[in-house]
Amino acid sequence: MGDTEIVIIGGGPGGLAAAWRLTSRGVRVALLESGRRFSPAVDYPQTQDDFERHDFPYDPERDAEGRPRYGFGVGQEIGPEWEAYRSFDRVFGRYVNGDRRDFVRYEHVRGVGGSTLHFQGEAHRFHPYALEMRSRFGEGTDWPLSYSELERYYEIIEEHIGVAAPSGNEWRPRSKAPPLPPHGLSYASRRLSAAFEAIGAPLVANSLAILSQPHNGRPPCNYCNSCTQGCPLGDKASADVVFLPPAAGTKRLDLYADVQVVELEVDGAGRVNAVAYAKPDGTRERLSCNAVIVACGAIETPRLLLLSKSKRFPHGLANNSGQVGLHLTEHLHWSAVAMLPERVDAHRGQPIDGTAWRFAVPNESPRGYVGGFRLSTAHGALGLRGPAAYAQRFIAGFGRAHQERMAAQFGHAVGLIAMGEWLPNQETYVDLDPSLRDATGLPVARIHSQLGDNERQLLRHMADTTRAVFGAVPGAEIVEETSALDRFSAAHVLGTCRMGTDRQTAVADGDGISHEVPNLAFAGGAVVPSSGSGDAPSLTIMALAVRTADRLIGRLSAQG
Amino acid sequence: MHWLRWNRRVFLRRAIGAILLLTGADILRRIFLPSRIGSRERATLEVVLDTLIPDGYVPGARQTGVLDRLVDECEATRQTRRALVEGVALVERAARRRAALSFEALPISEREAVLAECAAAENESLPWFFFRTVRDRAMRLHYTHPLAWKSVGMSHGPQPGGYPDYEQAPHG
Repeated sequence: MGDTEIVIIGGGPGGLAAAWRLTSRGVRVALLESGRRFSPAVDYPQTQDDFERHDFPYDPERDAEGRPRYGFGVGQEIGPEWEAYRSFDRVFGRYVNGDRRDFVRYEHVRGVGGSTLHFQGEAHRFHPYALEMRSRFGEGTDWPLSYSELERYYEIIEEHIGVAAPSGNEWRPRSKAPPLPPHGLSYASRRLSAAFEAIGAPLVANSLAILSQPHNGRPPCNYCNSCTQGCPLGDKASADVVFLPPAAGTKRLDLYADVQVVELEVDGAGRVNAVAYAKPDGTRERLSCNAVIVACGAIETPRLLLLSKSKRFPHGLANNSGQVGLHLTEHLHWSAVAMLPERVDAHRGQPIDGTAWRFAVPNESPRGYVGGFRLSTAHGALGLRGPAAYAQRFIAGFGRAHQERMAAQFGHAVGLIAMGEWLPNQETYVDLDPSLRDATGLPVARIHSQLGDNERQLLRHMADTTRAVFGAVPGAEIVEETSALDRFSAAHVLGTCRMGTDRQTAVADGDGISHEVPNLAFAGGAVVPSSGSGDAPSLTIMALAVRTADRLIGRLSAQG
Repeated sequence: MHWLRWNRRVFLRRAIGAILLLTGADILRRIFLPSRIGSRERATLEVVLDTLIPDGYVPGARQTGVLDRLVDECEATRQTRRALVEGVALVERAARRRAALSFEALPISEREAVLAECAAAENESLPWFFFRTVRDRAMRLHYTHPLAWKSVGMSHGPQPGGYPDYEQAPHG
């Protein structure tokens, strides 16, 4: 380890993409990950008889000793005017009975691969306007790089991981055709196509990092719809599948799983010179380095910086501006499940197989809010994998009559999900929890989240559009709706150490490197300055990580 | 008046004593909640499960072994253990109010009526929580069993074959 040049903290899509890039360019890397290494064939084979009982084998809410992984702020008041937009299902009834928004969980995985271990394989490009929110619409912030530069890195990643997508998507322009042909829409999704057409939002195959044909030694998808539970075949571009093997193959990567970084240490010149971490047995080690890339996601990245206080950085590393932890954004979500008159067996296919991009151009037309959203067919993503979901959520009652309804209606459910823009606001941020501690005795991160008026108006449009689609399907009956209005259950969290040219309002500069600490860089959701129009962020995280890796090599070389 | 004051005082003393006794008993019962579900509770619970997911028309909860797994799950936390213990006592009391010796002795329609009352009870009340705890777990445990998912026409699970026919209309 003495010759380690760069330490990467976090083995998710940002950290592993950076490790792949750095090692392939001759840099020696140590990657420290707080979670474990998973083995697909053992940990999520999807061959169990009781397959529907198995989620991805990680508890996002509590650690092995039952301690909460995160704290939460105060739930936002919902308001009686939003009664028609509360979450419910036909069996359980209303999900949140009180008048305040409920913090359910931060959806994530700690492990080598990070949240790509359970992601649905969506590989979206942000719309070019999403990088210009401040200059175009006077909201949020502008990115410190152009779309054309970002596109160069999108292309590198898409080719490497194998993105299957349709060509000619007018709402997501691109210079080059996608590397792989798109997947076909499932039968269940095609059943909804006419309804999408009826509202003027054509449904097309989603852009997926799931192979439609063999690519780089990996097999194609067999449409088991279990991405969220863990892909057993390796056709889905989990970061551990697509980046780790080539990085490890260079012999320049040292991977440390199950270690918790507790502090970044700085020298007298204000440069990070060591990383302190706790091993599973509680003992602590220290690792010297030339530079560090923090890639722990938008919740853990600010936590680590806030924990790393020193004389030079009394409010946390790289936080003399006070910006660390601010500008947290998530994605608004609205989902709905409806029963169709006939059987479509939506458990076959991919979790989010189709998307309508019609509304996914930020502020494409005046609608009373800034931003946009996309609407997707999301049968697997909403848990339509087998009959237990029907019995627990959609078909109420019990006894013989319930069994008859189960037999008559299983296979009839279809799901839609709308994902939308979230503008940064002062009430949505991450800090350190004053009372909760993790296994190392350090404060856990605390998540604060409140929808602004812009989000509420956008959410209303998302809900009304989703209902309009089902309204255009003869005989469809909505049996479940879930909403970000009354429930926080975010997965796409971004922005808490965002990039920007102004060091007073951004933690990282245009290269993804700290404004305050010259050998500290960032990869992962924390640096992404805006949330896009509901675009899944993994592809963008990977692209930015590779770009930052390139820029960091350049900086370190220039510094000698 | 003297007679009335004396009686009121006695009445109040006795009433307060009774409240203290009942409260104390409830506290003791909560403190000494058994760590395992007993055989009597299991027997009643099995009848509850037979009512929720009966055998006959299609495989029921007995054939898919719901009881043992449900009890295992509910014994894991004090809250769910208490829901089972107190919920079972509740349905037994409801049976006696209907002039039956036990919940099991009730005709099926009466058993269904007792559970329907629990389902319709006020949110967060004991009967409501008991019903939700048992129904939700029972349905999940039952319908994740191959006997049950095959009974609704699902031919196989996700792997190893996947669903390469995903673009086609469902068979059968």
